[in-house]
Amino acid sequence: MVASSSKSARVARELSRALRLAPAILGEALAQLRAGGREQWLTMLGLVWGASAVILLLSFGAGFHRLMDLGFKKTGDRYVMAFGQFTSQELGGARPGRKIVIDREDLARVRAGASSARAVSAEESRQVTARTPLRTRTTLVTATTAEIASIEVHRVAHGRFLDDDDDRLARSVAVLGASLARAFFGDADPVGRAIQLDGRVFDVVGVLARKGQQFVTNYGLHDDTVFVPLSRGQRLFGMGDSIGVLIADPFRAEDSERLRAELRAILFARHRVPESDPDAIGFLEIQQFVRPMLLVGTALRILLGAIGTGILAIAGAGVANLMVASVNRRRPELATRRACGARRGDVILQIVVETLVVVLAGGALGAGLGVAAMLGFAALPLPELVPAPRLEWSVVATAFALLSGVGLVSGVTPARVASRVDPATALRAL
Amino acid sequence: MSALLELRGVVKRFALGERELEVLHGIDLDICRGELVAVMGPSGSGKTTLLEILGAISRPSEGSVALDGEAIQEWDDDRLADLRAQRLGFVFQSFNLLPRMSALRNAALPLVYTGVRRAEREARARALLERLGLGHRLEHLPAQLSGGERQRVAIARALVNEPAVLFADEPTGNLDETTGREILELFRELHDEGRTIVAVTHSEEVAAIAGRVVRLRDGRVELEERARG
Repeated sequence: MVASSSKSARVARELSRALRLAPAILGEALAQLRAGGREQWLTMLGLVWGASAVILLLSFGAGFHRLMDLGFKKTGDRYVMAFGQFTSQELGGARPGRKIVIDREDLARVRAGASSARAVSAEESRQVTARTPLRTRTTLVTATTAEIASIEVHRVAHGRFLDDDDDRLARSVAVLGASLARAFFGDADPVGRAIQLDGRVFDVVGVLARKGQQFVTNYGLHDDTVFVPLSRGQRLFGMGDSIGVLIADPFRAEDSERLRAELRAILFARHRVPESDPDAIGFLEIQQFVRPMLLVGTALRILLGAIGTGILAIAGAGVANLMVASVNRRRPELATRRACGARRGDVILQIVVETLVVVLAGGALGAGLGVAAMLGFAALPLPELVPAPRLEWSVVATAFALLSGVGLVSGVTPARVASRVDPATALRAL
Repeated sequence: MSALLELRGVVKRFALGERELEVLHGIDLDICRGELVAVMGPSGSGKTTLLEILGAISRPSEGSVALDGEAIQEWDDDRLADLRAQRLGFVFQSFNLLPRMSALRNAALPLVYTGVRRAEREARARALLERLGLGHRLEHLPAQLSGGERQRVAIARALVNEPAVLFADEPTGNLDETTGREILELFRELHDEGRTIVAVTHSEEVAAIAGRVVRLRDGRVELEERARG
């Protein structure tokens, strides 16, 4: 008891000494560095290079990852599609080879029964002849409902998107993809104008914001598509009550598989498809494509980070080398400090701080250069599918953590050399 | 007069490869408060080793060392370092100033390790340097100072923590005659102020101002002479 309380008193005393001395020792280290020789700054060059390389590599990794992520996010990254195919088995008198047609009733049942679905819609696309006074062109038309906007992430640039009344009343209205609007109306605002689709007149009620390149296209680029209400499209395409493809979005990306199971249960029951005929209705989970691609992005980041760490480690070895040489040269100074009352730990602390400052200063300079180079790169007119480097806080934090680690590790060897300096050498011939 | 430093049966051995070299063979020595003691002897007689032990820089292999009645021979490195920082001062033959630091910073060095704040460290160092006639040299680097000035910076550094004992190792060894005399004069003044000083030296001039001369030969006290009074 007595021993432990005296031990804790000693710890407290040492701690308060450390706190009292830390600023002074830090000051000694900084003064030493300020007066430091040229080689110290030359060594920093290695770190400048290392740190800028790390920032650039990590930024490219982040840019690639983001390109992947955004590339999927802009067309929807979690939806599940269901489409009718052909039965392969005889069923209740029906011959094998029966076509399963997904229709309005399916849409209603899924909306009512799929508890993981956040939004449910339908999509059928066909090529039709579109015409305005400016031009005539074969164009992709998608018949769908209002919910598709949130599932496929359509943003309206002007006007509005399709709504429920458009579908209920089978209005002849159209929403245009960005490129298409430009192609058919030039610089004029298409909202309130008309476009003919296979000879029928549709009023343009909205134009979508541009999406650019897409990783995923179910039929065509969204920028080049005309969207019309499902019911009006059914009539235009002459497809009866068929709704083409059923498309549903789960609340969370992780629920994609569960949603698929729910859709399957509902649709198989409705169309009386036995479990033994699984291909009668096809399903597609977009997550099955998104996940591996994002994994590639993560793997790339790890690889680039590892390369950057390697470069920094080499620079760190250079610093350690320099500091060992510096400590050896400074033996008389360190011995004098010891003779004048510096503890072994004080000398170690000073050397570690000096190393850390060299590393962090070089690192900060390099990080600055890396950021500048990265911004320069990002400002170049890169093609859309080339990932622009991207500075993220996580990149800066990772680089800083790496640098600090390298700095501490580089300080270990020189500090050990310094700790072996005998104060008695101060009294011997120098 | 009570002994400030008390050595009893001090033996010091160094490992020399596989052999051991015994440098001090049982030294008994008292240093009293206010004394100026000169330790003399030929090269290899153990003067510097004795100074290391007196100055708490190294521990004896055998025997005891007491400062103010407290035995310190068993203290660990950190305690000895703290003792040097707080209660002992050193003047070295080659001055041992930190080459990249100003005179002011050099003089303030021991206070770094006693946790004195920067403003006070510098105020105390400045006051001492001014007293030693270096008020106009505070920001100079050692290389910009003459030998005598450097030694005065070193003396300021040794005094800055108000030490109980001031140790000097050949304090005039690297100085020309005139400068050496000035430094000796300074030591005499410090002694007259009542400071306790132990100087290791070859120089009879240093011995001449000492109250007592301890002559070492082959690691033993050969002779103690009381010089002045």
